[in-house]
Amino acid sequence: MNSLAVIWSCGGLLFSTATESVIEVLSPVSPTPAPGAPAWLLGLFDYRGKLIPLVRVSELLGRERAADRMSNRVLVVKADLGADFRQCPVGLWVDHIVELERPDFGTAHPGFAVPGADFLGAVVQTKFGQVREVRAGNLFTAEQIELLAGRLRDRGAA
Amino acid sequence: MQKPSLFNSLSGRLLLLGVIPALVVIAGIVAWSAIDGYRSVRAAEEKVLGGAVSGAAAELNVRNEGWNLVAAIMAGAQESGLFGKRNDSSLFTRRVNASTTGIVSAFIVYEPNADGNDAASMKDASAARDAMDASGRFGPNWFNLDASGSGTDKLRFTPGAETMEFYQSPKKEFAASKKAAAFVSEPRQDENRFVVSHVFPIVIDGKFAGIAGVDRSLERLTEVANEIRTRSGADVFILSSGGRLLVAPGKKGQDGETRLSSSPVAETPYKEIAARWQAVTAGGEADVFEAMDPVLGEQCFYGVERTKIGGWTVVARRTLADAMREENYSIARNLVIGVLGMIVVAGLMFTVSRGIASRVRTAAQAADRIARGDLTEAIAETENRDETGQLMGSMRTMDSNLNSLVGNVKQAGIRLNSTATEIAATSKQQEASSATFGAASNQIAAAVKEISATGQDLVRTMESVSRMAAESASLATTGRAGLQSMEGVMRDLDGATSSIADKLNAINDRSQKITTVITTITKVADQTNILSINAAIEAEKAGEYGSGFLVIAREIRRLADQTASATLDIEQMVRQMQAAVSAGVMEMDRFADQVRRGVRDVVSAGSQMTEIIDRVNRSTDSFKQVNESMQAQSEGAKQISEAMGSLVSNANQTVQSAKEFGRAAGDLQAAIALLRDAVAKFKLRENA
Repeated sequence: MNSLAVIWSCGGLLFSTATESVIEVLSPVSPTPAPGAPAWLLGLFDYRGKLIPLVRVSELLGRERAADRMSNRVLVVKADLGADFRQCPVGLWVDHIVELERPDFGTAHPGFAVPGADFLGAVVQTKFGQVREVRAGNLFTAEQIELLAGRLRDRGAA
Repeated sequence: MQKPSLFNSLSGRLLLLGVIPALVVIAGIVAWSAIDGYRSVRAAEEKVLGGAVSGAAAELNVRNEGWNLVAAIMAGAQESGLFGKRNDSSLFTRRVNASTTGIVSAFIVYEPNADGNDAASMKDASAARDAMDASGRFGPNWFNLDASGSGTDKLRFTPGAETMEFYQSPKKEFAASKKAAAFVSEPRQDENRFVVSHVFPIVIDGKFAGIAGVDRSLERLTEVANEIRTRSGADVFILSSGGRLLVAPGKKGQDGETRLSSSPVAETPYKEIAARWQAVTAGGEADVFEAMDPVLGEQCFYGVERTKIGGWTVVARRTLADAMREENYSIARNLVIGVLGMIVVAGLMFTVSRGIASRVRTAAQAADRIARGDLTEAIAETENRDETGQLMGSMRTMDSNLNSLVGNVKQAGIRLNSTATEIAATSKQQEASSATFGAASNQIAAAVKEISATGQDLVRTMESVSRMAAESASLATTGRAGLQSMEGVMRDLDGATSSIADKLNAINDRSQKITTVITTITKVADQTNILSINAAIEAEKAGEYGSGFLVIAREIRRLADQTASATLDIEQMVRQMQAAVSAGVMEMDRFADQVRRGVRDVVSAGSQMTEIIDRVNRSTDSFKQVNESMQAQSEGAKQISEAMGSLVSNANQTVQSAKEFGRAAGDLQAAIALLRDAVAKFKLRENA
């Protein structure tokens, strides 16, 4: 049986992330501002007593930023942020959660590779439309990992 | 687990029950064999030694009797005519000596001048001087020069004839008994040879006239003793009747050869035991007894027999050690074989029992450890294929399976506990949310009912106003007379209008509160949706154990979506109601202005009745519109009320479901706690 995945939308497109990588889905949170940070990093927020990064996925995906709504969700996933922050929780700011489904990526189109976006996987057709897989483990580039790890160290999150 | 004592251990009991009884049996057999062997040896010695000394005594009897007979014949010849015929007697004596084997000399001794010829013989030149003493007493003694008795012989006068025991003893016996009897003398040394004399008295005319006899060497006695020794392996003693030791064994280190002796036994170490030897009766059964030998210093068997003739005592001696040698060898052999067999049996039993006990002990320790719930240590493999080996293999398989089973149960328990805790928490949150939602829905329903009631009042009021307007118009058309009355009515109308406006404002305020409640409901539904998503994610992570809850989470999410959808409908209806109310208020404001103007017109000018009537008619139309709007508002409020009823029902159902779910989660946690307590006593290996 295929793995259960969270189907979510961002910038009008549908994406899926396997539940093995998802820790929790949260209501919209208010992050601590990160001065001088790139546009995709909204800041750090308190997640169960720990400060973790909040990332705007639309910026990572190169999508147009949609207006913030009540239906926005924070997808807390396990990401690899270097040696000091293995399996570190990271919050992804998405438009809304569509459903929990079991997409069959075994027969899916592998998708087109996007430079700098190794986290994008195969594309599969579902009853909600075309859904593209997002692998949480490969979410960030080396520079982004260095930036996030630095921020976490500055805040003493390690 | 304590190590059992040797007595309680398996190997100890096997050794005790196997080796000790076997040792007792072997010791009994050896002891019985020793006792039986001693009895056998004793019986054999009685036969051997008794037979040996009896044979020797018989032989000595025969020999002594033979020599006594020779002496008797010689004496008989003297008594038959040779007495006094000295030359013939000497010749006869020489022939006896020459013809008789085994003697060393033959002799005759007369009493002094017994034949009356002593003096004459001294004067007779033909008489043999060597056969006489200085007085002419006749005593020829022919003796052999070598011990074998063959070869040359020599004549002499019998030495010591008057003093020696071989002459005096038979003389005294004859004097005492007046009967002639053979006599065997004590041994004596003659010509460097140990000899004994066999003598017979010569009686002439009833008087003792002398003796005739032969000397024989005791060398033959050593031959007899050595034959006995060869046959029976026994040392031989021969004692004379006077207590002299004729034959005795040599000392140790001298080949045990028997030797001749003439020592009195009273002067030897055999003095005390010789008394017992000599106590044996002549001619009786041989006596065999056991005593300590004074020379050898060992316990010995003695066989003793006494000869009838001569009264010699023949003793055969054999040491107990020699007699028991073969038996001792047999006993020692049995003992060695028994001990070796016992050692081998004990070694085999110890080796086997130790192996068995070791494996059984290992199995017992493993079982004890498993019984205490300690599964941290694996049971070692054994190459033994017997029953204990199979037992160890089964124990090892059981330990491995138990370890795996308890490990799986523990893991499942941990997962179940985590899932059950989350389910319980989620259930409580869902229950609280549903309860809050139900309470809010009830408030909404009450508010909507109030709106509906107010709308109905408003409709009725509007109908009343409409009727009043119609009546006003009727009154206006009937005449100016009714203007005064109409003014009052118009004032009432103005007041009613103000009341309607106030109520509409109240409706508007309530609508705002409804909007607030709807926002709360929307947030609750939103949170419920998030909770259901997270619950579904956790259920998926729980794998097979979360499959049931995955369905529940999906149902909760569906209910939350329905709640959100219903809330959206309510929100739209409330917005429509607010728009209608706003329109009503505006209409009512405008109507109030018209009423006021109408009143002013009624009051200010009766001439403008027509215009007033027109205005009243327009007011009637407006009332109609307002009435229709109010009808629509009332209908909308009714729909809201029905929707809220459905919403409240759903909320109550959700609350019941959440409570049932909570109880199920509680039961699940209790069961998991029991399971955890049950497996907590098991300690598992690291890799389990």
